[in-house]
Amino acid sequence: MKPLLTIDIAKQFSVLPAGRDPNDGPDSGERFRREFLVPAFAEYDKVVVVLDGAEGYGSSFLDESFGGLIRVEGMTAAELHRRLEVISNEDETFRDEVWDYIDSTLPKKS
Amino acid sequence: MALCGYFNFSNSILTTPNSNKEILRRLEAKRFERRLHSKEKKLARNRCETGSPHKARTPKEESRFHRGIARGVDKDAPRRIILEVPKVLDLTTNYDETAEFVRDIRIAVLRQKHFLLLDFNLTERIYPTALLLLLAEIHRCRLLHGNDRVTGTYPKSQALERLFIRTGFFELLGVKPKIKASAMSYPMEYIRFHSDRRLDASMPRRLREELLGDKVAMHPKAGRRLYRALTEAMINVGQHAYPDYAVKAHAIRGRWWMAGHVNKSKKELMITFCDLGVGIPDTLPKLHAWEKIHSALSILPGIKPNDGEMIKAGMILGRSRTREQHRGRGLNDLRSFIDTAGAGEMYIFSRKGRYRYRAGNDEDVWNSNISISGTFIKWTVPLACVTDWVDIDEAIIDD
Repeated sequence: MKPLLTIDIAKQFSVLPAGRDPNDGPDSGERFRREFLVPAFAEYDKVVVVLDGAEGYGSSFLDESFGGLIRVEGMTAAELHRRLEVISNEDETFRDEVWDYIDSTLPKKS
Repeated sequence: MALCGYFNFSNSILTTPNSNKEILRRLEAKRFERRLHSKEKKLARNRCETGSPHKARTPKEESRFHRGIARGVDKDAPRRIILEVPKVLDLTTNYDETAEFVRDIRIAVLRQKHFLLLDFNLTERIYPTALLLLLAEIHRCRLLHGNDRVTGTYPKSQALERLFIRTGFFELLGVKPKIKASAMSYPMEYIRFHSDRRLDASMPRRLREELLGDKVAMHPKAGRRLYRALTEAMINVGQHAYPDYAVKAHAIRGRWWMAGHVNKSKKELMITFCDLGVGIPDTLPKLHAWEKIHSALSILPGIKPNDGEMIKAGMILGRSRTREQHRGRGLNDLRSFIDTAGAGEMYIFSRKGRYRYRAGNDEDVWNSNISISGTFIKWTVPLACVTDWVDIDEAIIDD
C-alpha cells in the first residue's frame, strides 16, 4: 500500500460540489466518494482531502461523501480517524462538519 | 334548504324498516340522496364557471374577486377576465391579501382555465417577496397553458414599471415596455429573476455578480454560506417539493425561482427563492417519523402541528445529528447565511405556515388561513455584514 495521497476537491473534482447523488447534480457527494475516496483508500494508507478553493459545501455533499464511507462502503469511524486527514483552512467549520458526519453515521449493515 | 328538509323527513320515516314496502322506500330515498348530491355538485360547478373561482370564500375574498370580475371581460379578448391587483403586495407585511391574490390567479387560470388580464391601475407597491411569488405563479400558468394565458396593464407608477422591466416581469406578461429602464450602478436594486428545473450550482456566483458587480465583493465566508443555502434549497426542491403523486406536469417538476434585491436606503441585501410544490408540512412526515416531529416540537402525540410548527420542526430535525437519519438535514443549511452574517433574518413561508429565524438563534412561527401553495424563502442581511460595500454618500459625510 502506498503511503499518502492528497485530493484537492476544487482542483481535481469540482469548484461547484453539490448534492447527494447524481440525481441532484453532476458533482455530487456520491460521485466524489466512488471516483475519488474509495479508490484512494484502496490504494493508499493515508488520504488527505483539501476542501479549500471550492464555492462552498452543503450538508448533503459532505454527508454523502464522508458519512457514505461508513454507511455504504463499510469503513469504520476509527479507521477513518487513523487514515483520513481533512484540510479546510478557509472555513474550519466544514472540517468539523465532516468529522461530525463520520462520527454520527451508523455502520453499514452486514 | 327545502330539499334538505324533505330528505331529513324521508330519512326519519325509514329509521325503523319493517316491511318490503319500507325497504323499497329506503332504496328510493338513497337514489334521491345521490341525485341531490349530483345536483349540488353541478350547481357548484356552474357557480365556478360563472365567475366565482372558489366555493368557500370569505366575504372579503368574494368582494375582491367580484370587483375584478365586475370590471368585465377584456374588449379585445372576450374570453379574458380582468383581475384587479391590490394596492400593496408584500408577503411579510400584507400576507393575507398577497397570498389570496396569488391564489385567485391560480384558481382562475389553472382550475377554471380562464385567460387573465392583471389590472395594475391601483397598484402602488410590489415588494420583492410578493414579486417573486407572482412571477413564479404567472410563469407556471404560461408553462402549463401557453404564453397568452396571463397578461397585464401598465402600472401608473413609473417606478413600478421600471421594476417590471428590470425583473423580467413585463417580458413574462408579454407587455412591451413604454419607458426605457435607466442605467443603474452596482449594487443593483433589482435583477432579472432566474428559474430552472435542476440544481444549478453556478447560480449563487451569478446572482452575486449580477447584484454586486465587480466593484463590491462579498466576503468569502458569506459567499460560501450563500452557496450552501441556495444549493441546498435547490436540492430540496428536486428531491421533495414535487412528488409523483402531486405533480404530473413535466415543465413544472423540480422548478424553482430565484431573485435578488439590494435596498440601498436600508443598506440591505435580500435573496428570494421559491417553489410551487407541496410544501414542507407535506414532505416532512415522509422524511421523519411523526414521533420525532412531535418530540422536536415538545407536543403530545396525537396533536397535529400547524404548518408553521411543521417548518420549525424541519429546522430542529435538520440540526440534530441522529445516527439513523442522514437525509432531511438540508433545511437547516438555509440558516447558515444568516449565522455567518451575524445579523439579518430569514423567513420561510410554506403552505399556511410562516417561520422566521433571526441571527442569534431567535425563532418565531405563525400560521395563516391562506396557503401560498409551495415554499418561499427570503434572506435579508445588512450589506455591511456580508460585503465590502461602502456607502459613498455616507463616506463623504464622514469625511
